[in-house]
Amino acid sequence: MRRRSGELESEVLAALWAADGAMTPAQVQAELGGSLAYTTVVTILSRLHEKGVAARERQGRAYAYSPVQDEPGIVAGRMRKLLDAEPDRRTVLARFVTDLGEEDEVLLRQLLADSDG
Amino acid sequence: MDDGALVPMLAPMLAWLLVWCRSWPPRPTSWLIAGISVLLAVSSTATLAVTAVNSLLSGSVALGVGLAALFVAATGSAAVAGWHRRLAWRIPVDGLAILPDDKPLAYALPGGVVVSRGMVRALHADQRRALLAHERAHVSLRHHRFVLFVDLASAAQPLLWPLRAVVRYTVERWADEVAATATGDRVLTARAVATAALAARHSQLSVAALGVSAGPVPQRVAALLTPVRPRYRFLALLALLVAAFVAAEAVEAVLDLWSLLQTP
Repeated sequence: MRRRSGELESEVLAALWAADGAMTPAQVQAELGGSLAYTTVVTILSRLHEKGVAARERQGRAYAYSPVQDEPGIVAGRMRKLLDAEPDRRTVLARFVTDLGEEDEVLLRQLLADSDG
Repeated sequence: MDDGALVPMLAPMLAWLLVWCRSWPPRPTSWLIAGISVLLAVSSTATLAVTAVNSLLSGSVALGVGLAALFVAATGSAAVAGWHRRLAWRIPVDGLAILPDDKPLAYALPGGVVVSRGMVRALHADQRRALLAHERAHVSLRHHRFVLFVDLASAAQPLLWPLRAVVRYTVERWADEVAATATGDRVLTARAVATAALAARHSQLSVAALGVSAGPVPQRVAALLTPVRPRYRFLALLALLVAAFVAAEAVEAVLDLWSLLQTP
């Protein structure tokens, strides 16, 4: 499947954030399920480094990359604290998932179990 | 002018009719709800203004002033609703911003996507791809405008209030469908939504309200797992007809007032 470079950058950046420590391109490639070529991963990682959203250090023959907290993330974090004080915050942000009720959780676990088969 | 009284009665009927259509295909339904909300709000606000002027002209000052106050309240609360979200929309996000927060959070802003560290850690790589595709769909399809228009409309015409939740649900479903197409896997997308919701729930320390009936998230997951194509054309047509009637009534009221003002 073809994906645009911005989408790939987002995926790689999210993978860096999901990891506990710095990641080599090979580790990033493995984390993403091997769907990307090694050279592609290297290119994306160095682009993220140029943008200043990933730091890198030598680790043997390759670089190891770790995420850097960038300005928009910091602003979004600050804004979230502001919005938390707003009674309206749930209506302002289109959130991926809304809060679950007790029955919702049971129902969701059932749906997940059913989709396993 | 008597016909104008039908407008406020028809608006809530239509709103409740549209509450039923949340399970329709999300893209046309989002358009239908946003379009009808705006049409109804503009029509009923115009009718209100016209009726207020008419009453003042015909000498019933108390009624006229009362209606004029309602008109000011309607336009004023719409303006407040619009002003309110400027705060969130000013966050300068371009593409993806990661929030240094271990609570699983993800949302779309007009400029881009905000995801928390807690959320990327709660999902597998494939599920993250579904999540990012979902949030990108919100951004590129400008879903915030659909929500904004319905919010503005329901601020002006409070009887449209139930549609606020409906349009929020249909744009989420719409983005779910885009993510399912982008990843090519409905089950994966469903699992991403469910996993994110469960992770978010378990990060909350407070005990959630008990006894709530099935909320939007299980409905979205179920819709992804078992896509149904209900028949809906008749109801959609009916809703459009009622909305057109309401709009025609409003236009007629404005024209009546206009000709009244023209005659010396």
